[in-house]
Amino acid sequence: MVIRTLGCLFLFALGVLAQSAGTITGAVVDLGGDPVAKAEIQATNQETKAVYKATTLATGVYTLAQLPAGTYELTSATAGFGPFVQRDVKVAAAETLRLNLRLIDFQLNTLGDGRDSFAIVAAPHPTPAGPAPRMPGGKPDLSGMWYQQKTIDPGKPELKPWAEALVKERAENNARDFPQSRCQPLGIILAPTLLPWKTVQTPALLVIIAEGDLTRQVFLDGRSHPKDWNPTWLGHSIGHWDGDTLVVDTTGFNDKAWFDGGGIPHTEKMHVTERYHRADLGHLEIEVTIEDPDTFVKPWVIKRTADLAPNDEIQEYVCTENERDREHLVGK
Amino acid sequence: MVIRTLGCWLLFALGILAQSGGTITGTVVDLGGDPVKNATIKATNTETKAVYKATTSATGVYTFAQLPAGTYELASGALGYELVERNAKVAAAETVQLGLHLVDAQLGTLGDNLALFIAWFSPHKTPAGPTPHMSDGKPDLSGVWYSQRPVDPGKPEMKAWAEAVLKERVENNGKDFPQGRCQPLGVLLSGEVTHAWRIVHTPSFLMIISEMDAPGYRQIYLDGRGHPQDFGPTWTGHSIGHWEGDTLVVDTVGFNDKTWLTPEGQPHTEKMHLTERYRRPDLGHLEIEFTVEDPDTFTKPWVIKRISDLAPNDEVEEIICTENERDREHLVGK
Repeated sequence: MVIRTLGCLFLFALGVLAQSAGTITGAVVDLGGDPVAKAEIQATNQETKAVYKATTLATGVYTLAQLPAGTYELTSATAGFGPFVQRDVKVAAAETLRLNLRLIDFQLNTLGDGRDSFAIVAAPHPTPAGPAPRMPGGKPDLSGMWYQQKTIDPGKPELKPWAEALVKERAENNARDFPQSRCQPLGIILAPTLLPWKTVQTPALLVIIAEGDLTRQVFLDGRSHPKDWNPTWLGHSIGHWDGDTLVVDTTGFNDKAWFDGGGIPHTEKMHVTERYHRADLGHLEIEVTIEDPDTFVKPWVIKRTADLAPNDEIQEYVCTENERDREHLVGK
Repeated sequence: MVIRTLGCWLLFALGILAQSGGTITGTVVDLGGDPVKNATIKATNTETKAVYKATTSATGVYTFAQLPAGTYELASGALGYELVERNAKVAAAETVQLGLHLVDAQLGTLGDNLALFIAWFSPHKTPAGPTPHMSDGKPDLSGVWYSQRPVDPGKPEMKAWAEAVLKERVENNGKDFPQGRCQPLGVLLSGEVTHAWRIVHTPSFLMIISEMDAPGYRQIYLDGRGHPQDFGPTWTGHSIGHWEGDTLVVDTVGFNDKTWLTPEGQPHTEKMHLTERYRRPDLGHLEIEFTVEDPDTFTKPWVIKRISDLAPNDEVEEIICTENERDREHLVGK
């Protein structure tokens, strides 16, 4: 009886939706105009914050049906493409809005870093089974060779006006001043998402080798941050254990790194807290909390995971070798 | 009796030398013309290979007296200066005047001046104590270390093509030194040019973090693996290590041919095979012996000996070569 009653209610609800709902549909294409299959498109109602999702067909077509009338933010975080955001998309009741979306390939400005390679990176990897290994003292051993960090929840940076304006300016300027294009560091937030990375843990020190970027030291010996630290790209990192989670606290950043190709800035006041938890032998969960009261209205929390790459190795990456980017970088 | 006899013989020998000996003397000055004191000058007889040493006075004057007649190769390896080599011929009872001009060693970077180099390459105060050991009983090489100080630079004996390349690079003002374009210094130079470097050591793995060099790290596998068959040549090569007693022997192959082994431009080929022997005789010191083999470049192995002092209160700092980089535009050839 209960089931039946629920069923009736459900049908009734659908009827209401059908009357007042609209549709957004269209094709998703890449820069060359070719359809993009399996792209994930998300519509967020800007008023109610309700989220609707669709995935494109092989022909690149997506359909967001049964959307309550309102104003939506369309976003896409498709592997191999830069983040897509289009705000203020209005759909009325019973309207079918046609909206084609163009995704921009994510590039490291380097030959060969195409969409396919990013899609491979973003796919789950087979990992060996087993419990999380432990150090002689009983703490988890985070050592290992890891694939690129995959984003589980990108969070949402809420920027102050100056930071919004700078993001806009950098985008309009074709991201010409992205530091990595001049072989400067990617920084700790971006580097491990682009290339494989390795952790080497001893009781007093955790070393993070990021392929193509700076090698990081995280001191586990109980020291605190120095008083007279010069701002650096990596900052100064100390770690402590919270149960089986390693909490890494980093301050002392310079203000030069970009969080992504989109150019979100930060100040020297940035404080990053990373929580590393090795769920089992093959998986590392990472939660990054970025605080910078001069840049963000509230802390920005990013959740990521990384798969173990037991048969892989860090490869030597010399950015300045055969470097041909500089001459092609033009602003607006 | 034996001693007395020896004494007489020595006096007799000195008498002969006084008769047939010549003198080479001169003033050692730096680029600005100021005298360089306490500089060590080495004179090597090109025929007998006998080596004579002198040190400059407070006024920069050195004197080799009582030199057997012959041709000498004078070399100065004063701290903070480029090596200067000059030939001089001296006859019996002759006094040859030979002034030496030393050129400051520079990394091409503001602030890398003479005083800094002297501070880097002088022995540091180190804590006393025995060699630390790992849980498996092997010496623990972990620590932050100051730059490697030369103990014996050895002498590379080159094939003709390598001599020619070296000469060309020197004449071309070292314009194509890879580090001038923020490319790696390589395994041999980075430990010497860096201010500080760190060893992270676990039973199966040893890692070197270098302050100065891109890519900034070196991995040395101690887990018994061999070199891979299909390793693409790289700047730092592929390194495996094993213990011979208390000495860690690191074997590296798979180099590309791009690094310069000296700032002057010593070349090598992809066949280079580097053996490093690391020994920590006590808490505060690390002895390193490099053997460079490359049959296409050298006529015999080149052995270099260096030592590093522990830097217990120092840390590896972040150096971004590409940041505020102003070298490139100033690099000109001949």
